[in-house]
Amino acid sequence: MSWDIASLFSDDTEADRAFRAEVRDFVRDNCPPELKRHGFRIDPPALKPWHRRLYERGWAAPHWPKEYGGMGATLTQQIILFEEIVRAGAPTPYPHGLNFIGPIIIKAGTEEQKARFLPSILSGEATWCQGYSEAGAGSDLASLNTRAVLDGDHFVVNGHKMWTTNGHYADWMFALVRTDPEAKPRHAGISMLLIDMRTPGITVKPIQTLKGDAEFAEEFFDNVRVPQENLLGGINQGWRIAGMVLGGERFTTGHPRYALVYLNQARQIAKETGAWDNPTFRARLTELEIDLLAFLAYYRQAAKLHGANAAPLSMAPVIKIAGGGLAQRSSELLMLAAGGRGPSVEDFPLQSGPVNIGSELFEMRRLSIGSGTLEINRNIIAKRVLGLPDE
Amino acid sequence: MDELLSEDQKLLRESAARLCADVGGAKRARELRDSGADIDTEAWEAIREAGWLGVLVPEAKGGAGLGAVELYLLLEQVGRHAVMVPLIETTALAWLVSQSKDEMGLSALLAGRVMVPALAMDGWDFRAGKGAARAAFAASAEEFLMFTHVAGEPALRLVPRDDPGLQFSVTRNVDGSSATRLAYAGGAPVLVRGKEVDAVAARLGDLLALGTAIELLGLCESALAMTLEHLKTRKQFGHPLGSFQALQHRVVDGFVDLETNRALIHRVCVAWDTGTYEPAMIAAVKSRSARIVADIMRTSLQFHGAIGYTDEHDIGILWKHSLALSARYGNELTQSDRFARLTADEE
Repeated sequence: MSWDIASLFSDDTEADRAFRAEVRDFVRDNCPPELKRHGFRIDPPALKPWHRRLYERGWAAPHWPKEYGGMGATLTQQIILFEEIVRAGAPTPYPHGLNFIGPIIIKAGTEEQKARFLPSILSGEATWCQGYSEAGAGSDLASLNTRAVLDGDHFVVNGHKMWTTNGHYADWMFALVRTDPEAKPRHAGISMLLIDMRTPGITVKPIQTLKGDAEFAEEFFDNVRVPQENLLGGINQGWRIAGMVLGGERFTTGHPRYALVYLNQARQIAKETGAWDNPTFRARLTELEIDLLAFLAYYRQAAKLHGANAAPLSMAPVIKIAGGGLAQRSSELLMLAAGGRGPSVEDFPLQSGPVNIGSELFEMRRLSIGSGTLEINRNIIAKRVLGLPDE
Repeated sequence: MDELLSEDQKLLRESAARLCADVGGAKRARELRDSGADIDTEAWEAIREAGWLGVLVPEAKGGAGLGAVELYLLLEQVGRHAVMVPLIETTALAWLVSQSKDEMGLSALLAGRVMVPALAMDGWDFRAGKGAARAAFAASAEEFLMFTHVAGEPALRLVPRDDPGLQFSVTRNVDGSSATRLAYAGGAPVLVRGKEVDAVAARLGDLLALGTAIELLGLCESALAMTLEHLKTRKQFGHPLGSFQALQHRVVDGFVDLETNRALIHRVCVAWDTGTYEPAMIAAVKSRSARIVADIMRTSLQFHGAIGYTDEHDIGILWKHSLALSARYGNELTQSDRFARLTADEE
């Protein structure tokens, strides 16, 4: 049986297969070799040339409507594009501009905002970050405290944002800020501001992750003046428009690729270290591969339903819970397969490219924390899908 | 999450749900267990009348000419309502014989005659039996499909219950179903012989394992619904049990497993119908279904508290039925092991 994302349970039509081949050739010929199979996080500046090539080919934003420079692609095409990029070991552009704020601007922005922000998001010229979390507002995001007060034609922002991916590289931040401290419920007093990161009063400090690189940062806002025209979607509409992003985005962040790549690597590593002959290893591998098969089936079905506007409320949290857990457990198996070499800081050389086992293990922790923890997703299913009562 | 079904398929599911709700249910399963019958003959008659037995048989041969996806829609309801009938055995055998030239036994199968395959003792495969095999529904079966040899060649025979060469004594399972060891030495009619036998036996074994997994899926849905109802109504410490997060999260994990399993089963049925299935997929389906039902039943029994430990409550009979279905045609370990061997890609 072939553990290949492109073929297993694939629903490709003739046209899909042709598109897949086209993407495959393009990635092979155009992605800078130093970006492929690097094993480490690529910081936004190093990623720009590759983003640019995708942009020039018209493939940077497959999910955006054509009138804004996107492909207007079907979800299947979007998934194919994604699959073929990651299959070649190439990086995908960061999602904060293209997948998160871009679609919100398209849906909720004014014509001026669209003309001003969308082109540089598309070309990758501008790096964006998402300013949602705060030290005291993580899972309970609606309790956020960063204040924005209107003073003439500017908002004056004071507060502190945290856990901001690429905060220290970003040109722009889309931030949720409190504009009405008295509002009940609390999320009715939140607005979304687009903040130029070069504005005076902003201090950015990188935060080192478990992986050892500075993936995210914290930002301090001290009387930062943001022009009123950078308010997106109206005053106190921030929570509502932030919710617009969820949905299609899950199909890239929740893709079964992590587990698939790890389990293939675990097989190769185990054959080198001898773990392959250990029945306990084989039993674990088998269980994970069977779960992967089920998750792949779920993922493909969810994509079809999403494409037909028939996706249920449970889809996004199920992808998050099942897919995230599977990827984490698969990365843990890499460590086991490698035996005594597992915790080494050195790469494990494999035919398909070197693997830094520790980095992969550490990176996977984010899947059950970022954009809604595992527990928050379980709460969503418990209350909104299964109808279980509040305490 | 619903599958993308055609209008016809949606109607089929609805009518299957109605029929199974009418004839089945945990209470009925308990009555049968206490009566000593391993097949619910009233339910079986209703199912025969509804035309389900020929679901996989071409229309030209008296069947419905449908596929594994439709079979899935039927068996899911059979499992959901714990209907004690040999539906997968009959539909699979009817499908098998409808492909043979003389269609031996087809009309009897479509008329509801109970003919069940006797497979290896612990498994899904005919061949590993070495003379002894195990069959479900042996208390009621009129004929058995058995793996034998004819002049050194493998052969599948249809052995009548009263054939003097057939040895068996019916063994009961905890849920009232049966799993009986049989041995045969005699000259009953040969259905398939020679090189074909391996391929036929493998396909049949796969279909039986898939069908049993579908029944388990329905059973999981039923257990989950029963447990959710209990969590919403049963109060302790002045609150419904379902308001406690520790319990909510465990039931959610069962729901997530069930949803992904439903997608897997549906997808493998589609693969069966399009001829793109691989045996490893079936091994995965059966293994995972058995694992998940064990997880869901463990949580369900726990959340029901003391009442769940009584014979009176329905959750217990569902559990017992799940044990029988999980063991039938390869349990979790047998099928996991088979999956591992099929995907080993050794050089």
